[in-house]
Amino acid sequence: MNVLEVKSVSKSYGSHLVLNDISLEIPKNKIYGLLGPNGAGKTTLIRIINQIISLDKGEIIFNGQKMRRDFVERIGYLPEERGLYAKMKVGEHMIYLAALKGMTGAAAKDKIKAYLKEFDIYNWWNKKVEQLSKGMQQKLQFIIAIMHDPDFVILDEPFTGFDPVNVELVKSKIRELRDQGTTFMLSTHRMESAEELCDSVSMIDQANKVLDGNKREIRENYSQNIFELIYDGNFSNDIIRENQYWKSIETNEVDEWGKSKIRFKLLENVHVNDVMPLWMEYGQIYSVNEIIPSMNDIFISLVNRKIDE
Amino acid sequence: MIFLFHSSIEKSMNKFKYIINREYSIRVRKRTFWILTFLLPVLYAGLIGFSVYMSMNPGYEKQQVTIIDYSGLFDNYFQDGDDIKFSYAESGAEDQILELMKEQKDFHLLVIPEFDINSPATFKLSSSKNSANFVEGKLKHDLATRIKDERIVKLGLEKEVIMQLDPNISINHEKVGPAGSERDNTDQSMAVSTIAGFLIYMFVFIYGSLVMRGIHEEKQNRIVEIIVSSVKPFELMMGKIIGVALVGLTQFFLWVLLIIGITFIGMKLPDLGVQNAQAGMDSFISGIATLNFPLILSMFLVYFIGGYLLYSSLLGAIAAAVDNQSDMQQFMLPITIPLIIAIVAMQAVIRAPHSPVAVWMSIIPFTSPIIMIARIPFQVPPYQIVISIALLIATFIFTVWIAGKIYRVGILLHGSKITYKDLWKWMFYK
Repeated sequence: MNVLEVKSVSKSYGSHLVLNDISLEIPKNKIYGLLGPNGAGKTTLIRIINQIISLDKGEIIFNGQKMRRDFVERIGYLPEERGLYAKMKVGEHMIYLAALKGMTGAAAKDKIKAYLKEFDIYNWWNKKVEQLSKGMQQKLQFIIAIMHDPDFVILDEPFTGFDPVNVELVKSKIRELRDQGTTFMLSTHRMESAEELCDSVSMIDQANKVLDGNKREIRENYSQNIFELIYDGNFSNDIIRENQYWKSIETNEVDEWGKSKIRFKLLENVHVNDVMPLWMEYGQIYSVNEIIPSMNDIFISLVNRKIDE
Repeated sequence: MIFLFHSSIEKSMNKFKYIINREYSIRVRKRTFWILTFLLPVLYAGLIGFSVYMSMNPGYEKQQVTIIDYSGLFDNYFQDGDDIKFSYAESGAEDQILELMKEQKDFHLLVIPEFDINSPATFKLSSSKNSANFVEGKLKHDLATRIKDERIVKLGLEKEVIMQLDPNISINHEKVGPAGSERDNTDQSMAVSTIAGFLIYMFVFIYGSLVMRGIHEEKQNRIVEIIVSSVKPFELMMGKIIGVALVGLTQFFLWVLLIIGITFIGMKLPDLGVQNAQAGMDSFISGIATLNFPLILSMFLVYFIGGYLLYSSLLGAIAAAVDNQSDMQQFMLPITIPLIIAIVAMQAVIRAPHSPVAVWMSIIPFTSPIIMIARIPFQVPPYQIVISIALLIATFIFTVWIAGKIYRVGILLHGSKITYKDLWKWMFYK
């Protein structure tokens, strides 16, 4: 079951194409990463899902139904550009935003209070927002995205500007809510933060989707049978040139402990077990690790350029 | 499903109410709102109090005037008044009196030389420092009257005959209209016009810029994206415009109530013995009472709301479009020019309320809120009012629609410098 389906969505501003025929399926109970460099079209897609801007072509399906204005109540949103009314009191600010999401009355107030207690801001209920530290305001913004028990939460660059303590707090809350049935979409240009948290990802570049799927499968698909060997000893140059097992040697260096560190790209049909006896003849092995490509590496290999270029 | 749909409309209305409520309550709770609300009536009370005080307390003591008369014409002629007392001194006492005067306040010496009543004479008045200025005028008048009487006698004329030459003129000025003739109230109309026109100008400016600042603030501190993920941008914009309008109306009604209250208390003041000031005020107030106040007040509300919607929507669109304050000034200027033209033209319009310029400016929607309200006390033909209001409504619907288009795009856009071409393009975005 998918919480959200984006079907062939296109959007342009004037002659500038921002999204070109994008399709995504976001499975329930997962943390979904929407990856891509700045300017790829991620925020535009998010705004379309949130009904903030309209799409030119395609459609959005939410919980099996064509997206409607009132469905946004079931969505939580932490925008990339985020702020609060500085002069409002914390409590009334939260109650106001909850009301706009359709959550009113004493139950709403209790819920908000519970969240503020959990995040350690409850004592600030009657203080003005501007009196809060940056970190506390960030926590408030995160609570705003989740306080109305949405089915689906969109977090746009959630960790930029967050201090490390809050990042961990938020990450663990995201996992907790995911385990309770909430689906998350995490949009970011920092691939490594998605790497850790996401179950599935898609990559967008210059208005086009370049990749999507389950994170583990993607990384396995893109793994190139590269192993890193750390050992104490010496391979003779003859051995190094030996290419019965490997295609190439990617790196060969001495690490900070004086150990040799060498990366072999094995031939496609070679398993690491096959080559171990050979390595053992030449020295003491400390570790052997498969080098699985990071999302960043995969992105670079796909679009043939670096993410920030 | 059908149930869901109905409840969604209801929910949307509720959210709109929450927005209006927030926009209203945050402003009404501000100290500055109450300060301004009470300051104006206090100024009004102060003004009334001051004029009453002035009429009771002229601000100077009784003036002492000593006369030295060499002509002999003015023996026992000068009569003491409320604020002036005369005394006579011997000839040749000038130096002695002048020496005494140095130490005195409100002391005057008039020296009347011998003179020929047929040729102009120069009289010498010496006054101690810090004395009242009206004395010279009063003396001039009294001297002239006496000399005139003397000339009449000399010419062998009868004083009564001369008196008959002085016509006593009073004009009973009335205005003739379809409803018959009525008492002229031009002075009162002009006063009410000026106040009403200026109030509309002030209201549109003050509350228009409140809308502008509110939108600018939301854009600058980036709360807006969270809000528009719950309600439509247009609803947020209209919620703000309506919320601020309600603040304005609240303030207006409080002013009306307070001013009526203060006036009522002021009316009770004759007990304190201020008949003097009252007499002039009474005829003015009875003139005001002949104005059509229900019409003026209801038109005031119509033109305030119309003008406010027109200008605040345009100012709001600008605030949504631009990023920084200095760009805002640049876009604001062309919008506020018609308002400024209207307030400048208002004085001329009040002097000639039925001139073609006045009629046209009261029909063109960008100036009509000020100019029409200034014309209303002078009995504007109903068809002109109808056309003017219809055009105003059509125009503000149009400007609100345009503003909604610009707002929707601009509010989420940061970092780029906006041109009129951009604004034009945004109106056609889907």
